[in-house]
Amino acid sequence: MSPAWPTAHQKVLRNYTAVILLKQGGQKAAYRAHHADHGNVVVKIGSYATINGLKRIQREVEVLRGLNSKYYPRNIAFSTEPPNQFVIVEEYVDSVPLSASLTQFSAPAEALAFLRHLVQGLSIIWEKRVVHRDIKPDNILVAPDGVPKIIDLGIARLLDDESLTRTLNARGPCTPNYASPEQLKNRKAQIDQRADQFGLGIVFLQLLLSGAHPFDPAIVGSGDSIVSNILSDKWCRAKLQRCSHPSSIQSLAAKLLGPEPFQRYRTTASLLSAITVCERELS
Amino acid sequence: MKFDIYHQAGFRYQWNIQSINDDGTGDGIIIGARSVEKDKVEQLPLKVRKKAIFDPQFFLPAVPKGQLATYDFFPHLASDGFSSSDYADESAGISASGCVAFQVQNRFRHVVIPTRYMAGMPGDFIKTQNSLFVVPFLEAIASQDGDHSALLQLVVTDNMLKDDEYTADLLNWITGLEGVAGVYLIAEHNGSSKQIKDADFLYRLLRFTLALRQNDMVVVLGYLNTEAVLLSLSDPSVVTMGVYENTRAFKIRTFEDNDTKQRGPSPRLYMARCLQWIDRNYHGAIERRLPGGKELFDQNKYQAIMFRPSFKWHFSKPELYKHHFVELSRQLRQISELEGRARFKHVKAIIEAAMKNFKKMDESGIVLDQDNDGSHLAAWMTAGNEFAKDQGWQN
Repeated sequence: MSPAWPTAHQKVLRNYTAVILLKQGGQKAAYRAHHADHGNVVVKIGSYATINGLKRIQREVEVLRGLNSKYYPRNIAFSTEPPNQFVIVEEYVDSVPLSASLTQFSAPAEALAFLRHLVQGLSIIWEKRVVHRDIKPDNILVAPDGVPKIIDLGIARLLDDESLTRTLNARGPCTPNYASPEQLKNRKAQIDQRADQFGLGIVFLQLLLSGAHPFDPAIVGSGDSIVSNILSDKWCRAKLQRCSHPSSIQSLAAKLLGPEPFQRYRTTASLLSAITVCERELS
Repeated sequence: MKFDIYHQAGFRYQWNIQSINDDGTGDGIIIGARSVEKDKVEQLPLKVRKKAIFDPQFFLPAVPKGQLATYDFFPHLASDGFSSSDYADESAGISASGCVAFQVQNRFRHVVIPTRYMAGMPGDFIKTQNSLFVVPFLEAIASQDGDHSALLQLVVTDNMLKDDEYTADLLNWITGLEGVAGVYLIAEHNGSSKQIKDADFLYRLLRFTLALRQNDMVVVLGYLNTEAVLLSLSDPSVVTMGVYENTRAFKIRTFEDNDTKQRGPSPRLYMARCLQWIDRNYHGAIERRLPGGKELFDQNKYQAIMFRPSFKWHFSKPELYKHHFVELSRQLRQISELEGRARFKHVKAIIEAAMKNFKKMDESGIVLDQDNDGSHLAAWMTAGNEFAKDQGWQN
């Protein structure tokens, strides 16, 4: 075990073998490790600053525990350690983040198949009235069979629950470059599953465009930043048209990126049906 | 898609039912609680009820006007005097359960979630509707056995429709409601004329309706006058037509306690080729002075009765309205058969033909006043053209 790891982490990690640091950022570190009973796992160790912070983490764990799906890593354990440390143990998924393999799905048929998987995966939490709110390539892992695993429900919103973020922030919790306009404007009442569709739209176009962000000013040809282009509904429509994809793919992208929620798909069934139309047109 | 034609019924609901049964002028009726007492609704034949929509008309929850007082679930009665501060917590659930049970037991086609009328553009509109009616009604519907198609009633005002942000908020709210199959949409126009002559209002209403339809929602357009012809462009599921003016244009004052009785209007005849109701006083001049003027009067069995010398013209005669239903439903059925661009071309041709007929009247020296002339048609054409351009139906 590396002595460079924080003492508090070493205390947790002594129950594991073959420990490798996967990711470290802020107050959280993720390790791959082997456990005698559970096999290969991911151990996330972090600290929380407030009770609300802890509640958010517990909520993510509760959501994951309620899922039994190939699209999400299985939660194995959750515990807290005084004074303010939490430990999450999850199934280890042999995978690479989508952000590192965006060019793998640039053929329209592959991009559509991947999108279908993502919609099917997200529909599991949408049915439980949970919105992920942070769909982006970093939060999508690609397993060797090409099936995505959706991770990091840390800012997922349970639509029936009281908000944990009673703040006056101009922007709601999100990754700005992948957030829907209603998230960026912090219009909480309007955030539902259709906010995730916006992130899906960006990811879908990134697949088709070999990683280019559809709202990137360099791709769009105007705007100051990705965020300002999201807020002003400027994305690379012309570039997509030049790719001569079937018109149904352009319609699908345009609808996913509708600037208002009512301009996106009202139901998962209608979104899946639109994907089917694209697939038929391709074949 | 094809749309249905419904009769927006008032207290003369029997005329509507007769017209549907005898002349095939509609697919069902919307029964207004203010006009028909509860017992009489329950006594309607099942055949009628199964195709009907019941409108609870909770627009002013503290005012049980007319037959509303016979419904024990009307908010004022369910809460022993409606008070908005306590209602949501104490009585909304009781009222919703009673109203939903009534609609389900009577086997109406949809279950309507009522709305509170709110003038202007109130900032708490969505919150108020959710707490008073939407949430309690959805809960009450969920507690019933079987699947029930829920229609959210919505009265949009002129101001709401003309504000893009407000309209978007409404659409985001409605389309985000789970368990709601569609909208029973009523648009209140501020104008004082008998026809809507506001192109911007009509265009925005077309867009609003289409946005709901594009979300796969049923849209019932309530309280329509002859603009049903124009609004058919937005692909509604149901358009409506009614007997008296208070069923052909929504005015909240007709639900208020202090609404003073208006003097009866002069009798007017619907002339399909003009897309207008024209006062009896002008009929003689049209027949005498306009070449081919007689042909403007649509021929049917009611026209034959009305044009007998012995017929006493009065606004309360059923023949006027049964004639209207026959002629308007004929126009609407033809439109319903068409879709998209073809529907637009047909509607445009009808409007253009009507404009020509008014021009001929004018050239013949027949000067119609603003409630009888064709001045609404320019607004219709503008709204229709603008909408058609959005859809790529014309350049």
